[in-house]
Amino acid sequence: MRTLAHETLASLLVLAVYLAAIPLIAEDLELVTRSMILGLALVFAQALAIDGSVRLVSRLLGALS
Amino acid sequence: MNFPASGLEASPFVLVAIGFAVGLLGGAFGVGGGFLAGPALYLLGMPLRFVVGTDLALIAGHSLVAARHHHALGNVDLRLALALTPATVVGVELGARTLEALKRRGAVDVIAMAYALLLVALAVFLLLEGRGRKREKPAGEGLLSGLPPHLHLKVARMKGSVVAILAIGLAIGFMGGLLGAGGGSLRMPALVFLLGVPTPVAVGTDLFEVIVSATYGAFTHALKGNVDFLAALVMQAGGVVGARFGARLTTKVRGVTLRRAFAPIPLIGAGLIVWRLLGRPEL
Repeated sequence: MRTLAHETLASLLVLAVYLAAIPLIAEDLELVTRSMILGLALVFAQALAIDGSVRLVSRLLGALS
Repeated sequence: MNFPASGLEASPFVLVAIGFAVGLLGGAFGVGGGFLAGPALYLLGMPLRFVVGTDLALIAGHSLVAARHHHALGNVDLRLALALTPATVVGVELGARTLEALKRRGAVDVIAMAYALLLVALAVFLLLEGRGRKREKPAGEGLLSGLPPHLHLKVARMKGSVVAILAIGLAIGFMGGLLGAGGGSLRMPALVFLLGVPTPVAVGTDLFEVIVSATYGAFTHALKGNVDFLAALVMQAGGVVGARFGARLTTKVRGVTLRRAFAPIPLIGAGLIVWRLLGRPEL
């Protein structure tokens, strides 16, 4: 149960940071994704990065509690 | 926020929320979720030519995360997935060719309607099956599991009929190629009831197929310039989180509960087929 709470909180934190950052980098991201290969690579890289971030923050929260 | 590639004007919060819902369904049921993402993007105002490519890019990314989690939970049978994939590809090609032949004879609508009815029957069956049953059937007890030869499926802990695996891949690929919708909503129940694969393993293995098909689809649409990658990336942030929770859900509920909760998905597939029969745009 505690793990689920940590994971939920970690997900919310990561999404909050992402949503705060995305308008700032949207223009650059748009330029990069004009290349099809880079766009597809970014899709997978971002998925793994967000997943890894949630896991990391969740573990940190677990260690702190 | 503006998404220049497609001209979409939408709040990133809304896109993340849609992505979350799609990811949750993918992680819990092993479906791509295009039936939800496509109409949602269309309703938000994304031009039709970007809708399919963008939702495929979203699906490819979060399915990778969902499949990773299912793999860690011991729910992805790679041997089964690798046997299914080539049969599905052949099935899609056969379905696409059959569609061309049927178009010439004007018989597509009849088959599409029969398939939509099959999906409705499947939904009803999923809601009713297992009533009063306390235990799940043992792995390997499917309608076609007796057909020789057999392949040892380590993760599913059972012997799977090679003929049944190839038949399921071919049939579902064929439906996908022929009708373009609803094929994915058949795969998980087919693996469970025809082959006897445990439900969580059917979900995890299904996701492997989703990654392959969505990546290929996103690639071909990207070649034509039909993908808004920025929108896909924003949606995917929610999709990844949803996929994590969806995969976790499969460990918390019984197989029969999961299959019952899956029942509305074939109904949506049937709805999409009827939508297309009525001459509405492809979502």
